[in-house]
Amino acid sequence: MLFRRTGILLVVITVCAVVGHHAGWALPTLDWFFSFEAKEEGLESASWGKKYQANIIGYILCALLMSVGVLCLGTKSRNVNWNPQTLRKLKRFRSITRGYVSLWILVGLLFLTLLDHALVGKRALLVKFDGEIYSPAFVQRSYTAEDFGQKGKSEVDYRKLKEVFAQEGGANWVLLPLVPFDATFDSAEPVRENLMASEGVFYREGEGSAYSGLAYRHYIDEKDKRHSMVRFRKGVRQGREEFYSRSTGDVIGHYEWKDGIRSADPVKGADLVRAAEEEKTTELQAVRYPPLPPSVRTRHYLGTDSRGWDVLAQIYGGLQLVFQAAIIYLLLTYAIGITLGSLMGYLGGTFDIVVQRFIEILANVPFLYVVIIIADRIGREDVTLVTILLVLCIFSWIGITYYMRTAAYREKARDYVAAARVLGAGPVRVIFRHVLPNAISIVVTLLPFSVVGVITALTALDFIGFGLPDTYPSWGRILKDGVANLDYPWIVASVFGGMVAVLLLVTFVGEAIREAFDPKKFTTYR
Amino acid sequence: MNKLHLFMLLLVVALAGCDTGKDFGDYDNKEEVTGFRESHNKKVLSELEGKKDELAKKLDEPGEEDQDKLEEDLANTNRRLGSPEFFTHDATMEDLPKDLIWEEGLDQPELGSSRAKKGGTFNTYFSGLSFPPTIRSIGKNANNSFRSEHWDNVEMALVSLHPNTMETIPGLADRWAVGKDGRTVYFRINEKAKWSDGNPVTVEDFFMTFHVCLSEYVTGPWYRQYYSTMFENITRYDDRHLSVRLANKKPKPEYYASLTPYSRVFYREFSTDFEDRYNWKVRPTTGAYRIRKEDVIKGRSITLSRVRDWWARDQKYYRNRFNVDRIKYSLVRSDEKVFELFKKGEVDMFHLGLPKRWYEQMEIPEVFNGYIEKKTFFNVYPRVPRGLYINHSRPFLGNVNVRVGLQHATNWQKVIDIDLRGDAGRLNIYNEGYGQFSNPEIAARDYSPEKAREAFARAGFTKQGNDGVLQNDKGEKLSFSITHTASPVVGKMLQRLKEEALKAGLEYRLDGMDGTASYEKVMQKKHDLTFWGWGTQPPFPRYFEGIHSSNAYDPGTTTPRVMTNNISVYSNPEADPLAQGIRFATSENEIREMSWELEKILHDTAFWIPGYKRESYRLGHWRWMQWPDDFNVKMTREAQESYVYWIDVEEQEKTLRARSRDEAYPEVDKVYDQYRVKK
Repeated sequence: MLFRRTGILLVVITVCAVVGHHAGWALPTLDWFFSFEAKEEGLESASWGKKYQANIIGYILCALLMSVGVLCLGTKSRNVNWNPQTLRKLKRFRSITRGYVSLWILVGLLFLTLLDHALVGKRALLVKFDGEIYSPAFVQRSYTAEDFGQKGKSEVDYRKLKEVFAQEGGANWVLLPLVPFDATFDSAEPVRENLMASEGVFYREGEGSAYSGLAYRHYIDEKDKRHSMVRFRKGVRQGREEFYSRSTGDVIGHYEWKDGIRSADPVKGADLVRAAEEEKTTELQAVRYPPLPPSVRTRHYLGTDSRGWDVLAQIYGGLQLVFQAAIIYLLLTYAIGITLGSLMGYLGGTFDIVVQRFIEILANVPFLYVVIIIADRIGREDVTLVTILLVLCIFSWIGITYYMRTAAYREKARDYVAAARVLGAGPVRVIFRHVLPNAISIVVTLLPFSVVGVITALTALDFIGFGLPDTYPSWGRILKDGVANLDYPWIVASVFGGMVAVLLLVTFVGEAIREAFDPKKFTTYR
Repeated sequence: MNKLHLFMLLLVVALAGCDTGKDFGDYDNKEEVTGFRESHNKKVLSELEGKKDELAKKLDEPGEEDQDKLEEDLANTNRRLGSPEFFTHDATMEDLPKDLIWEEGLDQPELGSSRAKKGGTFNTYFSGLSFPPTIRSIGKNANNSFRSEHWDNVEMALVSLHPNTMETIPGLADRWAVGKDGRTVYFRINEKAKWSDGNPVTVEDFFMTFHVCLSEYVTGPWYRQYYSTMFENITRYDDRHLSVRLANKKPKPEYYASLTPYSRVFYREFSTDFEDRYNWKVRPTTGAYRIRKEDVIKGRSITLSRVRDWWARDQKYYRNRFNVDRIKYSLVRSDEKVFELFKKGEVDMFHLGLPKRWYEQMEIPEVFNGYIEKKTFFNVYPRVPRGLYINHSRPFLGNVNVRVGLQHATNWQKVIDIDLRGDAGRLNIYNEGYGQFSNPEIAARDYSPEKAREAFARAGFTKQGNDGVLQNDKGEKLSFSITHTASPVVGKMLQRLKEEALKAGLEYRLDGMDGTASYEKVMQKKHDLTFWGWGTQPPFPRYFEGIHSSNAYDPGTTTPRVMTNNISVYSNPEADPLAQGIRFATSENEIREMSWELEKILHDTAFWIPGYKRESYRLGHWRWMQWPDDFNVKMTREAQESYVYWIDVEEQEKTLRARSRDEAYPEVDKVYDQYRVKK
């Protein structure tokens, strides 16, 4: 049943991905297969391969998944005899509650990240406009403001659209995702909060202590234009109250406040200031610039960073990235490491010596410099997740060969290997059918710790500024921003909490696996 | 003496041993100086003759080159051959023209405040955040950020410009006159003028200036080039009278001919090993502050001391300035740490340009209680032409419609409103803040996705892809990279521009790199756009280097010329004569007219995307640091460089006592906008 279900699932996924791509849909996560578009080099017309790169890679990935699915469908459960040893190990793993629960939480997180822009993103899930229903989040085309009766040819701002529709009060409505922000390049506007006066002392809405800071008035009919500005100290006005020219924005004159008492006449530019006072303006407002604090009203549930980008959306995006990275990285690193390691151990001799020397050379290349050089050569903006992972892989398969080499050396001397060879099995068959299953427990216990490794490596690279470009969400960059802005603790607290949680979960799983695969049930070093 | 003492003693001896380094023998270059004068005169003569022959030859066989220009060159060479000597040392007072109109420049307002008190120590830091590699004023590594503190801002020249009125005021010279030819300037050295080592300032010291600056012993060609092309002659009439002849006619020639002296006595050991020998040698000065040998503590601090009996202390324009006894520059390795030291009171003054610092991080008891005062001063200084420079030689960027579109698609106003909290202004033209020379009629194109899309459509970009980026018929995307030096502050601003540009269908790709790497890329002209700003200097705007076509392409090709300051690869036959004309203009009127016209052309051809300008500087300082009533002089980049402040030692004690007892003064947050430019 297990194989059947997996098989069906994989086939359905593949079909959905291909159909979705050609029908112009943008299905959560499934659109990832066809997202590997070539970066434009200069602006000259690209070669054929570059032009269709997204399709080529998409189809290769789909074909791979499809074939795995078909293979699964073809396997009959009856014919698969699970090794009783393996079953016992799995049972033991299940009995270690901490690791087992952690695994399910991780699976739950993975499922959450698969929901992608259905959960987090600036595009609306559903829009009802003039009697028709649109779902901008799930199609590839982008709707311009004109499509929904607004002005402008750029993509419509759905958060604003929702406000506009709500104000109009008609039959039109917008359904936004739970977190209505993109992880990157979707910055929040500064927030204006009215000041409330109580017995001559001014407070910010919903705050207990008197307000200290700057307050502004803006024009009612031109909300972006400043009308005047005054400074508050402990709830009373203090110092200059400046007035600005409506046309140029220059200062036209000012009053002087002292402990909440204003000078009778403007100190400078009396006529202009008096004229300006006649204009219709907003109330006195305090302006909060990014980083904005967490708030349900602004829908920034974990606040924003200093650029005004939503922290929760970035953590979510970072988590997606981490899962992607872990999968690609593990596949690549372990495929290379296991193959080369086993071959070295099994073949021995010249091959072993040559590869060992090669490894020694590689191990002495400073990893960070290679990343810096590569990032410099291809340009910061053109670095992709795959580039970074490839560089990481070049250096990290080495560690696995050490283990596999010794394991293969050891297993090679055993009788079952000799038996298989006598029966006429070639080296590839011996290694992958006979040696590997007996050495796999070593590799499996390493897996979770490699995941921890790749997560920290990516975060650290972004932290020091040599990682992915800003178009990718990244934990490292929020962490850096948080550390630079410790006065705004929600940034660093959120990302630190999220990262520690994920790393802990993975480590718990790793511990449990290690324990389950340990041949001795009771070890002395626990 | 216990072991520890012995160890410390040994350590001190060992460290002192490192300090002295090489031992340099005595040397007197008196003969060499005389010899150099003669050989340089010969060299100039033979160069001129060679040039004359060459020009004559070129004129005989007509080629592609401009005949008028050749004839002009030849005339100029012939004029110079009339008096080819560079160094004229043997003239007498008889040779001084009799009909000169001498000026003394004493009718300008004074600079300092009469309330100023002498004394105290000003604690500050190395603005470069690293220890200066040398205290030489010239040669290898001398052009570091500390040089302005002990040389450019302190050392006196023959004359200088009044920082409020931009008129010439006396320095070492107490009077000067411009000759009939408009290029020779005659100076008389103030009889009081003397060096801090007691020697009088004489004409020999100015001959020494040329000796050093023209010398091959100095690394780098800049000084040799500047001093051999800017000047034609220096003449000694007697110990106090000299004249300097400029190669080109200039408005305010006395300002351009104003030399800074190099002490004949101090530089007598100037020789092949100059850069090593003089690296840490303390210099006598004509200015108010000197460095004493014991005040150079390597890797920690350098302290300037006020010169006792400074010759100019009672001179108009110099009295009541240079008040503090000592200025101590300490090494602090990061800006954040300086800020912390400032809040503790260990650094007396700190410029608070960043909005975060000014608005949020200064909300502290020290400010509320009035121990630290906040000041905003609207200065007048040529604004840094900061913005996005477009490389016109790249695909599509040569098209004026694309460039106009870029200007409309780049939302600097939002950067100003949010990232800079509305404290900066929009820059409108290339050379702003030069007073009458800057064209006030031009306004930068505003952000408008609609206008941008119209302009891009004229250039053929009409379709919009799913990613929101415009494409042309061939499917080529409207996407350009911005090369810039990676820094958190710049990064944030450019990210905002990128986000906003997409609304106009334009993709900016941010290419942030290490400073040297991005400089290299731009100088190789391999960028699309770059975020850049040039340093500026009053009094006149400069266009030639950044605009003239001779710096754009290699002659006769379409290969951009590398390592020139024309980073836009801008080549416009209409603009060339104006850029050239401003460079060699002889009157202020000419400069004004041409520069207004040139700015108009630059605006019409969408030469670049002007960014923002700072119209003020703002700072916090402790109460004991005091300033004149109008705070500062008009032309200052930073508050301390006019030396009008003073430290009140009594106030310092009072403030510290008040702080320990938690007593408060009224909070001070003052704005000085008397020089604010009104539109």
